[in-house]
Amino acid sequence: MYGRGVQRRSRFRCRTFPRGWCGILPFLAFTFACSTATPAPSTPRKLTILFPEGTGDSANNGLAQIVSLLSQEGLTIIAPDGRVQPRLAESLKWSDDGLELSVTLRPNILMHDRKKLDASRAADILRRIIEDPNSRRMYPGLADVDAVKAEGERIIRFVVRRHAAWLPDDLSAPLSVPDPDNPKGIKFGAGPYQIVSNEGNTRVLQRFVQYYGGEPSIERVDLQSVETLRIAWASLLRGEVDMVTDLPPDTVELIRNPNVYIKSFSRNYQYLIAFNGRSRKFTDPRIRRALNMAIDRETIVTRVLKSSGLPATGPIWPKHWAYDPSAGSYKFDPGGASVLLEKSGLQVHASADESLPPARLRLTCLVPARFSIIEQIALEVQRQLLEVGVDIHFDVQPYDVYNDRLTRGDFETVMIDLVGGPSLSRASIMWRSPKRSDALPIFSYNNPVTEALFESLRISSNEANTRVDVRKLQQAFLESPPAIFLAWNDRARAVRSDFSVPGELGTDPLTTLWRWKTDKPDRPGDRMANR
Amino acid sequence: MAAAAVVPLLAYGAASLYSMRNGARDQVFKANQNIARRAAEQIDQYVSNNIRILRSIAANLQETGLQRWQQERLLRNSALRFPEFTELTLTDEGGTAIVTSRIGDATITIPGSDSSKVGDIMMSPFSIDDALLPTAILAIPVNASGSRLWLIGRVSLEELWRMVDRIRVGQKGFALVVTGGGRLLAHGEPESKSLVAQRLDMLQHPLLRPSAPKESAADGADEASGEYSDDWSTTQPHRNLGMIVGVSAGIPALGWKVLVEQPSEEAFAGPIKLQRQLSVAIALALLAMLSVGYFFGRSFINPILRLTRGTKALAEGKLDERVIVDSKDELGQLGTAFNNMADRLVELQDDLIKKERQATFGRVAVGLVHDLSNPIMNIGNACKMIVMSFDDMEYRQSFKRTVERELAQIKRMLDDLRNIAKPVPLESFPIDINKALAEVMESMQTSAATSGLTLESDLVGGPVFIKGDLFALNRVCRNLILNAFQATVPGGRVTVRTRRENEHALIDVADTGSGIPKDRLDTIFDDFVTTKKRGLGLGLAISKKVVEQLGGTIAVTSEVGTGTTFTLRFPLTLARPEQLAS
Repeated sequence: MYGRGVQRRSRFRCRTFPRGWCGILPFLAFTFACSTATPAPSTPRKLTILFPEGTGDSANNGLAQIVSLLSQEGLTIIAPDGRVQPRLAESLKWSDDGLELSVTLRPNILMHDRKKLDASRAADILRRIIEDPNSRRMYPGLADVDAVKAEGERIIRFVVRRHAAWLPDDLSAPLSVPDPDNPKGIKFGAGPYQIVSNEGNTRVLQRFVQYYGGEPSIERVDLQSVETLRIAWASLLRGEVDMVTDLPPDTVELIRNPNVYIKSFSRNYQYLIAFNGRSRKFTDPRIRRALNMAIDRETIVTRVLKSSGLPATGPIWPKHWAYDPSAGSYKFDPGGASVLLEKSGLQVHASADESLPPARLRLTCLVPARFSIIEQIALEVQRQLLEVGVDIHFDVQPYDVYNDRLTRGDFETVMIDLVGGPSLSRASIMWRSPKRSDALPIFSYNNPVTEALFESLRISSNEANTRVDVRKLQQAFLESPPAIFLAWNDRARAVRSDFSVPGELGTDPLTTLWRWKTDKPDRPGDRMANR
Repeated sequence: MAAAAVVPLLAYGAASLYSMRNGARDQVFKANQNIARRAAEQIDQYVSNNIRILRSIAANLQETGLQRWQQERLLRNSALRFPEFTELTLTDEGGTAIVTSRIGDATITIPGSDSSKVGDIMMSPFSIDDALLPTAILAIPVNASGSRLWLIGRVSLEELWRMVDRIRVGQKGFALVVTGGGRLLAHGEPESKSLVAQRLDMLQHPLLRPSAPKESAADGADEASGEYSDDWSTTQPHRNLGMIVGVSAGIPALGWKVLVEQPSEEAFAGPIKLQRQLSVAIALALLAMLSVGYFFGRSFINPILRLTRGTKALAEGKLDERVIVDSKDELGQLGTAFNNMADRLVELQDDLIKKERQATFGRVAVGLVHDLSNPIMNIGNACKMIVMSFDDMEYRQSFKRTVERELAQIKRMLDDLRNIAKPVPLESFPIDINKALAEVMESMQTSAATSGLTLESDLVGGPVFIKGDLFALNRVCRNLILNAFQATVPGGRVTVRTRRENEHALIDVADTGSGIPKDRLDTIFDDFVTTKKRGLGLGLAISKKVVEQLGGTIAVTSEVGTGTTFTLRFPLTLARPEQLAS
């Protein structure tokens, strides 16, 4: 949903910015896929994937995310613990003064236009990304780059104006070039699959036989969005499709059967209700803290997410290597929350409008329509907040309206499924100063303490300092929370058991799709399509 | 006897097995039926509980004077508290939403004409929602502020799936829930869950067809049971489970059916195993009983069998056969007596053989003495006479004839003895017996005349061919005629006749002699048996052997004082005169 996707436009528009940086997720998981080269494929065949709308993202964003995951790669990839690993790059090396980063490319990388991705071409692409204001906001580490130089065939040299600790993270930005012959925005990447068709709610990807990791086994991937989960599931159970990408947690156990296996994995996304920093209702940090104290996150995780998630009390990805679990968190304390609100001068009073309950604080929350999980979370939050005299009203809007109002800042609070990792640069984007041009501060959160800490982390050159600053950052966000943090969530994908899906437990199976194998023959329709 | 003992036992065993098998099958059906019944009750209770919840929520709205926000909170809190209700909406009588548990717009309305009534609650047909869960819309009237409202709830029976999933009968048995319209709502078998999505028409199911045999349970719900193949559906591939034991129990309030299915192989595994074990046990018991009976019986019957075998052996001439009877009872005494008897028989036989041999030897010796003494004496006399009449030319000729004749007599006697011991091989040519007999009779006319007898012939017309050795046949005929001469007193008559009878040629040699007593007729062809006062008694024995060698038979009829007739019978041959000539 909002906050993910890969589209970037030359002219900055708020409604599109979150998609780009949210596309990091696919690349993250690709780390595992790239670790070994694949042997020759066994039975080439078509794979059909259905993306059910209303289960976590809009159709376009959902499809774009999967297309990006399968077709584009960056120089680096970020592991689930926030560590950087080379991807298209073979190695990265900082100069002694920390002002120059040398990246050596893997040899013999071809892009989908069959042209070699050498240092010169990579540098060109990266220069375009860095020059794009939208990209600079999504990849703040790139904003520190003064120059990109190609040396020889394989070495790219990044000259920075100061030590840029987040640059390696943000070199995970996918490298792609537009297809000059295709007006529909199809791009050439260097991933294992190449998009060949982009029509309506369908995307067709063909395997890229010259992929540097090895020829993918699956010859073709048809990707389609469908209106309901039921359609997707029925198709999967009938054997008409091979995979359904997004499953609500409450259906996973019900649908599990020997012909279909469910792959769950942790996402560095969390459900939260962000405050609009421009609203005076949230000026007092005690109010924001009280609202966080009023939330029983365990109930949300257990009841709504069916235990497929983790309670969230801040924007930092709790699996990041520098995260300090002892730094503190919000405890569910409705009594304390009420007291804090009282101290903030918020008394419970009846409304003149008898359709409204007595409350000390009334909030309106922008919510996207047709997202059942968000609706269930919203009801639970509403119930819990009312216990402390906070009446939150939900403003349910179609996804496009929701997205537009979000990017324009037209909300008081907003419920969102927001990326928060795995790198610190990803966590920083939404919570930097509203004046910055190298962030996406759509929530107008303004906190000099966190701003200073982010800056410190951005130029940090050793892990000890990073750990200290991250701890301080966690505590600063607890002191002055920019949102009601709710829960980090898991995602599940269902794959027909005909396929052998390699990869570590807990990783997105899509990231290893190019290594999937099957001995099952194609369905008749598939064989025809393959011809 | 053994069969008489075993067959009733076997029949009893088979009847027991049959009865046990049927009993066990009934038990399996009953047990599965109980499971289905309990599941039906649970589901009924589960749905009823949801209806009660809705009633309870409605009661909180009924004339309680709640403000709109309170009604909304009530609905939302209820939706959170009872997750089966994915939406609760209060509408006016026209169906316009007043408040809803949803954070967006209400999505449900009062069920239409296809709904059923459970008390005062209207219930839409169950369908499958986006999460693939069976879902229905329930609506209950609410009176508030003097107006009639409707509380509508969308109930998603997630727990129904869990309930059905939890039902396991054995390893492979599972439950299904089907609506009255034949819609599959839940399937407990993981592989078959897709059937829910595929909208399988369950009305084809053997237990749900209108023709399926039905029983009425205590609560009036329809129940059915049966065994059927898993390929009952014409649209779905069967699951290779083979035969299925299926039972159904109804949920009258909802019109649903709970089916419990289990592969027969597994359902009846217990009874089949028990049946197998019982069969083996019965077989072993029978075998043990037969073995014990056999060994006891053998110990009793064996001596009798041994005695029987010994008696048979004795009857067959095996006089060395003895029986071993160890027992000291009557059978033991009988065995000892049998062995003593056999010993005595051996002694008697040996004695008899010894006496027979002595008698034979005596007879042979007497014959030899007699037969040899005459020629030797004649030769001796002739030798004495030649000394005196050596110059008599005529006598010398007579001496020569006498010696030659007597030597011939001795030689013939010796030949007979040799022939008895080792028959001379005969040749076989077509011969005309009329011609042969004519020659023999001509040569013997002188002897007949000398003996004062008449030798006459009565030969059938035309040649009579048989296959044989002319010399041997002549010898037999000559021997018979000579015997006839010797048995007939002077003045008697010896007649030789030939005749044809069917495919045989017959030769009769009849005399008018003294005849042979009847008690000796049976042995006259034996070796060394004779009625004459002189001779070894080998003539007829040799004649019989020769005739049999030529493929014929020899018979005798005789009447003392009237005469004797020997009849030779030979197969006729089709030989032609040319062949004969050649």
